[in-house]
Amino acid sequence: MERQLVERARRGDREAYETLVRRKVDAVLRTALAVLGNEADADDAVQETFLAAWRRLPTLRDVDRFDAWLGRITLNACLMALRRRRGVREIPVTDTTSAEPIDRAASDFDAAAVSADAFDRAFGRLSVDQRAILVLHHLDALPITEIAARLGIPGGTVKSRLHAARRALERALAAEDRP
Amino acid sequence: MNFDDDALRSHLARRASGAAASDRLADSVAARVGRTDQPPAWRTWWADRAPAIGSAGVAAVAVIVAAIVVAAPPAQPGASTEPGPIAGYPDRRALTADELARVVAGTPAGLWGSGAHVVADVGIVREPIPCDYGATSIPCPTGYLAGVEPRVQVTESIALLVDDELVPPFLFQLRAEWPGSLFAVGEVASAPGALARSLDAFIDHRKELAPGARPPSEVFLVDAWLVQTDAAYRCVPPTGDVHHRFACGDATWLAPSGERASEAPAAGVRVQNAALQLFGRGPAPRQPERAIFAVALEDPVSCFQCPPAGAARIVARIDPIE
Repeated sequence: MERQLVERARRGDREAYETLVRRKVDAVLRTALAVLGNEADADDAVQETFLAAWRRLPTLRDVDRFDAWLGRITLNACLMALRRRRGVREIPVTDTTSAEPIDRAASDFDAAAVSADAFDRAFGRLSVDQRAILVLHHLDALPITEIAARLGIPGGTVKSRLHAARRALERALAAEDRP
Repeated sequence: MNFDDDALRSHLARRASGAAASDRLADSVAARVGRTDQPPAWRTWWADRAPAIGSAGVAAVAVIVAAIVVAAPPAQPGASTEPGPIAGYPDRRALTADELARVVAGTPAGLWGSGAHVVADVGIVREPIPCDYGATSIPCPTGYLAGVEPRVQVTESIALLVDDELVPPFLFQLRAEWPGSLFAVGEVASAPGALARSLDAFIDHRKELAPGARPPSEVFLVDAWLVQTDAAYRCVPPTGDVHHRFACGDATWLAPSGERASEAPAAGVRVQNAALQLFGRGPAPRQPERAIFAVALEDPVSCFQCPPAGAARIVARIDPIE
């Protein structure tokens, strides 16, 4: 059924494409939010993703790879959104009514109690590729082969980049925790 | 030290939450797709592969394009396009239609594409443009600045799109990705005799407003200090409908003075966390800054370090046009 929708959309059927958009918009928005951490940028990235996909659909050769293809466009749109913002970051945070001020001088980095603020700042220091690979693996729980297809790199490279991204995040978190 | 998988997944899930507006996003995409034709396959094939064709070919094309540009006769500037200073903006008045048209035309130099926000007392008219959906065609409303020639297209925010009665002045953003057109953020609720209110006046005015009585697209201009907490907190991830913008974290307020604070100023208004990092211009981190901010009313489920006047969300900082 989805294959038929993609085929029809590829031939210029707007109705079929709108149906595809409604099916995919939640997943695309979720990825964009996780990578960008900012609703306004994520909204822009989602719109740009679907418009770019619509314009490029006639070039899609394998309709069965539509999801991976759309995933690649999503990550490109996130990259463009970050370039537009150029260093301006909105940092959303978490809630609790029982939060206590940190005695920074006395604290060591406590991985289990990383605040949302600290995580978002640390995550914001990563490249889009590093953010993307962490989101695809840890949030979307995609297999390595699928991540490789979405990023356009071999499976072995996915594993090494995943490891490097994880280390980079931990270093950034440790830097956040220093006074 | 090892940041475990569960904690990482939990933080990523928190960042990815808040997808409630996806239906509206899909509507917006559908409307834009309705106005966008697919190029023929050969053209997109070429666009995808052009970078790989080689610099020699690209250089040859550049030479041809340059020759065409040199051969073209120079444009004759008309007297009406002469730029002039825009004085007194934004605290005392909004831009007129002529002034906004100059901004769209690219003057003052450097403003276009900066992402800057401007306030203008210009109406928006909507015209139905046919959107083709397969065999059927439906009218898609498209916005334009009223009384401005040549015509300037306006892309409306979702909050404005659902508002049937548009009342100027409006807050517009100049977005680099949409050259020659404007993004309309919302309607500006003018203060008596001025555009911007003092913080006290804003708080007093807000008390008079019945909850939900104002259009969702309405923004207020407030002249105040932006102050971010000096304290750091350990926070647990939010649960339920609690929005991260006003939850535990880098609490930030609009305040009547520029004194640094570690708790909510009594005569202040809570704004979204870390707003100083987003809207501050100064080189020193966390240093309070005074400016005119465009704010939208908010009524968060939970509000960490909230003063009695409640919360608002800063949507833009309005800098004077030199």
